[in-house]
Amino acid sequence: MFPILSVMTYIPLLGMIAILAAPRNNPNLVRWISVVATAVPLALGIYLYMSFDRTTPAMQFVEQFDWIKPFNIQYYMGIDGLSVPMVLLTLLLSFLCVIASWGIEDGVKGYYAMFLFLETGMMGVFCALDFFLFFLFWEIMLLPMYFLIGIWGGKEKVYAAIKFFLYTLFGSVLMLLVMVGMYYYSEPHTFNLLQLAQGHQFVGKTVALFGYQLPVDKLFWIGLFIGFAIKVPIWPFHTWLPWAHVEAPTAVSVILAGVLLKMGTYGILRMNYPILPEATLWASNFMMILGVINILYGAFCAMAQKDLKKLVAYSSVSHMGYVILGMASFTTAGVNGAVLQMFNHGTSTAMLFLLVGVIYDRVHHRWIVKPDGSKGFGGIASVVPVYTGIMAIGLFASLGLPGLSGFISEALVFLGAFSNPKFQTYVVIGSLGILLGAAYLLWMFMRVFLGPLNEEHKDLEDINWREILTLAPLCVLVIVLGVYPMPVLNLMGSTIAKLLTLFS
Amino acid sequence: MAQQALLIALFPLVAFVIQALFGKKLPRHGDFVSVLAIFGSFAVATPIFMKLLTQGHVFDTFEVSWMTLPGIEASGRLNSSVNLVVGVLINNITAIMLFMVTLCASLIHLFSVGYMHGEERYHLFFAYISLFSAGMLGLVLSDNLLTFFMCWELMGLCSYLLIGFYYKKPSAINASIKAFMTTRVGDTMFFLGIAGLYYVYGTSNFMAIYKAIQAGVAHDITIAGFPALTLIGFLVMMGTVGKSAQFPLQVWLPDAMEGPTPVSALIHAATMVAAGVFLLIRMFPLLEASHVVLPVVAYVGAITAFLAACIAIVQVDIKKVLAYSTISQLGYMVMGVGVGAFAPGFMHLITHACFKACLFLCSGSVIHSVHTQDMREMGGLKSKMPITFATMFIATLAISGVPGFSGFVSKDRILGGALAYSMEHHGHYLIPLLGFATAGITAFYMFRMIYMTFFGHARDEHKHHHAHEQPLTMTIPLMILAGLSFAIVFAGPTGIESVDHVMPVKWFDQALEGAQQEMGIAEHLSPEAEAVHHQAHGLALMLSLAVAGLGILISSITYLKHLINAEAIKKMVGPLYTLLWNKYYFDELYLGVLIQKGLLNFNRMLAMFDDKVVDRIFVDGWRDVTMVIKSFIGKFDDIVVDRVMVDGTADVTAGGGWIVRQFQTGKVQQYLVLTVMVIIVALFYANLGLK
Repeated sequence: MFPILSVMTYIPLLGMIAILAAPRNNPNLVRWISVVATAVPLALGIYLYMSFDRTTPAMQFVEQFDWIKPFNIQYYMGIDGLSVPMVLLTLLLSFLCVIASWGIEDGVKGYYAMFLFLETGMMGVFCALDFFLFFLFWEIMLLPMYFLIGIWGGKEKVYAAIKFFLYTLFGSVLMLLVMVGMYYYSEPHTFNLLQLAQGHQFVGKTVALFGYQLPVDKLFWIGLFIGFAIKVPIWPFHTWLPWAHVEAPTAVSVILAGVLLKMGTYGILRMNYPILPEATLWASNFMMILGVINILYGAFCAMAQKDLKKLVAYSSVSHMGYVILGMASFTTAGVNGAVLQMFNHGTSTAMLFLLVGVIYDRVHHRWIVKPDGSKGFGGIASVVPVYTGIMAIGLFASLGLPGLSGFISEALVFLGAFSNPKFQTYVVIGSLGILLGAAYLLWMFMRVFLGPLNEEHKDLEDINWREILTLAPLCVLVIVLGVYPMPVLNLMGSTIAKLLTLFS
Repeated sequence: MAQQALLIALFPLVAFVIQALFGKKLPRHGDFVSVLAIFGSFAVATPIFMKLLTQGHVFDTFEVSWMTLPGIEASGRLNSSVNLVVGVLINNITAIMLFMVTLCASLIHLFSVGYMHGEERYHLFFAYISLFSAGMLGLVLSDNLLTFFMCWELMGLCSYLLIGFYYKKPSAINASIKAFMTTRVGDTMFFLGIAGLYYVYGTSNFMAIYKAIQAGVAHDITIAGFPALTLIGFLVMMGTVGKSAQFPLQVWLPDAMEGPTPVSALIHAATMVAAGVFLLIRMFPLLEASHVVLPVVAYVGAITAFLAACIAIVQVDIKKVLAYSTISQLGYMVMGVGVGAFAPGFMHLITHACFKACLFLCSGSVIHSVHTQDMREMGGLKSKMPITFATMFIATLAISGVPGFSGFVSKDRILGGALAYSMEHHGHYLIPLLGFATAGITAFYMFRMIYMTFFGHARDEHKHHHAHEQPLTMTIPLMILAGLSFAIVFAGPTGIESVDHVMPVKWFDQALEGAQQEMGIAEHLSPEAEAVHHQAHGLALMLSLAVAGLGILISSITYLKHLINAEAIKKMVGPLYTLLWNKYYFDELYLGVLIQKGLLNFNRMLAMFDDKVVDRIFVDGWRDVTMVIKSFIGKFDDIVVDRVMVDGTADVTAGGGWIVRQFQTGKVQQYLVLTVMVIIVALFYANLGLK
């Protein structure tokens, strides 16, 4: 069988090698290599979407063979309904980001090489079914990200990159510990995620620490959860995010918000849920509370921001809270809504970051209110009408306006979470986020786009064709999935149904 | 029939897409696209309405599956499968609403062609009102709360866009964001109500909900400790409170007058604000299922009606007067529903839509002509604008409750219902009291408006000189809407045989009776209750005639004959006037105290917390740990390796003391991080050790 997943994962890597071999003085060649190296996997992804069997929860397009025999480590790739939406999102955003990065002039070779390496890492994370392999890709991803922020970032890039690195490293350490622990506690020893999920093997086992007998499954759960929570990011592990987002170049912010954050929630659904269902139920209340805190905390902080990009960054914190809320509800509607929200947030936030990038490229600042208290923008709707229109679509999708994609996923999350009698109070509190979301986004829109024109920006150029090209596919997705979300919901339904049988 | 009815909402939606994408390039900036679309909707809606008139009853549904999520086939379990079905429900209420909305919207579209002529972004204006019409009609057609809510929010969006249509004007954009956010407070609660209904009944379909309520399902379920149906009832009510600008969320509607006048007529008088009341009508069985909700609804309506009417007395902006009168009249409808006068409440919705659209368009005609909204700069326009005057006067008679006009019929019935309610439930006398007082005040300020605008001498000669009557595209809508303000339209007989043949006497009552039976809320009054109602309605008729007459009389004495000096009275009741002029200081409370003092400061505090506290622990803490380890290892090299091992002589105590000092820095976050590190390392070794 054609190893489609591996091919999709390693084509960007080949692209990276080609770029490193390319002559230094020809940046356009590098750009076009990157386009090809992301377009081919995207085309394969469309094929994948067409041929994916939506009726079964089983792994598909599986590639499995022994890799490091003595430790029973396998090269095991496969996708089910949880991974497919994420894989498609990764492929699409990577392709669009290559186009969006066209304006990068310094160190083009290094930039695109790192970028393609990053795509390999991301693809690997979503396809790997062996914990060791998963961890490997997880770490691979960290490295190019660090350099992309640290070298091509803004003024505070080094601080942001180190902060990102430290946080993520801390998470990785925990994950490594759990991985080793799971290996030793499983019978037979394995890193195979599907085997680990069989037979509830960690329930009832304990480990002696400081004279206490602690339950292994709960320790594993906490370790994994913190590891993934940093990525989501779940409060209070979120402070790397505003910095990383703000300092990263546009395309990297898009990838960060669009794909990397989802790895956290994906990891929880892929590992904590099926491998440690008892511990997951035990922690469900706790997750719910964190979800609500995320929603509100992110929204409140977003409202206080003066930097456009930081506002969008904090809105991500808030929106990922909905994902946690839906996941922790253990209802069909809630979990489907959560995974859909992962996808939808990917598209709508990518739009917002791309749009912020567009304006930053032109005026080299992003202040809603400048540090000296004067207006950063104001009234630019009259000089850049098309840009304003597209921004309005992204913004309304993000605040969950019906007819656009964000609403469907938020609605499903709330319908689901409210159907679980245990969590109704949390949902009521969390619903405040719907209100706050509209408040900070519309307030931003008002201060930047409406009102009397700020003369400083009267010669602002409207959005150009290359930029529209990067935004148009996202616009279409946001609208189509807002009216009829089944094309994505279809993919995940049976996988989630099976996952939920663990919790009934 | 239900399938074709979808076209009613689709026509304007298609028009929106065309207008938004190509409007600027089309001849006339594409206004005809929107106008044709809405007339198309009217053409489809009319046969449905005619069928209701001729047969006395229409009913049809059409459903499609929207979202299916697989799960275990068992209801009540968390992982049961989800199947969201959406569709169209055509019944008597739908038919009447469709006809009213498409008619008003068509006329307002037509009026806009003249009114908005030459405006910047002309094509976008039509795009927005097309989208709005699609939203409103979609809402009316919806057979379930999910699509109902989607259309509801879509209207909210259009309202936002249209209030802020003059986006360079700070007052307009402030008003637009205020409208969107205030209504969203209600919307959020409404959505929770939908989620609650979904939890309780597993559906959001109206007919299914009616059936379940009739069957008494879920009367004992609780949500977060509250009786479910009561809680949901309140949540749904809050949706109405937001959308229909009821107390305490009434603040947005007057500011919404910043939008172009046709928008005020369409959205903030005839349709969107009425959608809130329409929600109460649709969900009436739910409200009735809990004994606590309806009285609250009635009080909210009565208080709103009274408070808003009082403010309207002191307004000098012609549109503001109408805005407050809209809030007040919506309060009547809500009160009507609250006291159980379901049919009159709905009837007032329809009659009000027609005469208020007429009033707003007339005010638009005046504003277009004299280029001011301030009534103090008008006066004496009667002769200059005879058609506008005549139609506005008819609509004023209707809203004031003068017999023979539509408003009289519906308002009188609501007041009768309120009176009967208070007679049946002793103690609720405040409701009819506020109702009758409002009726008098309404008549007063509406005639004040007419007198100040059209009668007397011209207070601004220049503006008066330039005043002129509008072209036919603008006056024909006025005439049609004024024609619909006569009582006979709703409560025949007309006396014209051919008309009476098609439109049976009391067609409205018949249609509503049919609808009530479908919803399971048909009234069965006991003979005693019947007697009380009869008595109440008789008394109400007398009273409402008296208060309306009194209101008109005082208004005439003051503003037509000038026998009473209004300015002197204003000075006499100074504080009261200030209170009314400042709208009871609601804006100051919400914006000044809650948002600026409360919310924004809280936001800043949290953002500071992020930078100063969370970062200290997780970032600087890390740095401190690495610094400790670094110096530890550095010293280790110095102390242990160099001195102990190489020199062989060592001051071990000093080195040890130094190490201990490093840990006793007194910094909490350092301790915390160290503890975590130790646990991690211990765990790691414990794990390995066990095997």
